[in-house]
Amino acid sequence: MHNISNIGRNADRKDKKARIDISIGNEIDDKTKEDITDIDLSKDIKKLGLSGILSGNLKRAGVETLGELLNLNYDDLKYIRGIGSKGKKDILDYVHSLGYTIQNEPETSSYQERIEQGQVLLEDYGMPKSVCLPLYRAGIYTMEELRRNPNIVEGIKYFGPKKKEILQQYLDNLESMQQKENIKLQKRNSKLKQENEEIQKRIKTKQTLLNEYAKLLTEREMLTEKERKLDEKLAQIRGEKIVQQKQRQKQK
Amino acid sequence: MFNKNNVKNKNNLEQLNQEIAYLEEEIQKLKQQNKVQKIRIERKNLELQKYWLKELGIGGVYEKV
Repeated sequence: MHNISNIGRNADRKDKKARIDISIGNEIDDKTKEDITDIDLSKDIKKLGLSGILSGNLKRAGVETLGELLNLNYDDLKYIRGIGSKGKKDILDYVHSLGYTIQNEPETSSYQERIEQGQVLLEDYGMPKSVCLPLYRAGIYTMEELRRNPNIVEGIKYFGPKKKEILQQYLDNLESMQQKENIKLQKRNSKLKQENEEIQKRIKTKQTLLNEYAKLLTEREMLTEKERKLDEKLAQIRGEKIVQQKQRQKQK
Repeated sequence: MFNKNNVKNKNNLEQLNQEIAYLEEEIQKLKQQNKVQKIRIERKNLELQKYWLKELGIGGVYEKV
């Protein structure tokens, strides 16, 4: 089976900045070791079924086997050149398919998922996208996450002093902004409530009209049947009348 | 801020209004048709009554109404 102590020995020296320091052997606890031995950890990264570019980027960063991939820290992925949000998602999907998770893995990994969950994102506070996007890339989507990691801003790429200043202003004015947001939300909710009430009224009206329509249709059917019977009787009478007229003509 | 719920409600309301307008129109048509049919039936009934009265020798000459 795989020798854990050899993991990470062939790191590419050309890509020193992107290289991840993997000193696996000491960090994995015994339980994890037992779990991992079920999988072939020595399997080459290029044979895992990941895309060619993705596995190439991982290999260049020193991640050459499945074992090394499983022992990556999620924060390390940020520093691997060529791996963006999609790459991260692919890696996480693959690791999850094996039944494992990566260390420090965020609860939700994508912007879309957050929106689907209905979370209040940074952009919902009116923050410009130029400030939000780098934070999203760093895995900070909500104000709570930002409060939990106040120093994360320092390590984010493309987050210069101007953006920091803007962010600080937003954080300073957050309370008043939240109050305004609450007022807006209350207004929006009351408007929605009114609209919902209006909709309920219309639904009731529609139901009443449908009932009336059904009654009228039944009435029409009854009337048609009645008319048909009358027509039959009248046709019979008219026939008799014609026969009588013919008889009279013959007698004359 | 863009709100999906507002748009959804607006669409629902518009759709309901359209449906209600269509139903009202159809009901008016049906009412009119039923009214005409009732008058027709009434006339035919009268025609039939006159025939029977004549047959019994009570009424006048049978004639089509």
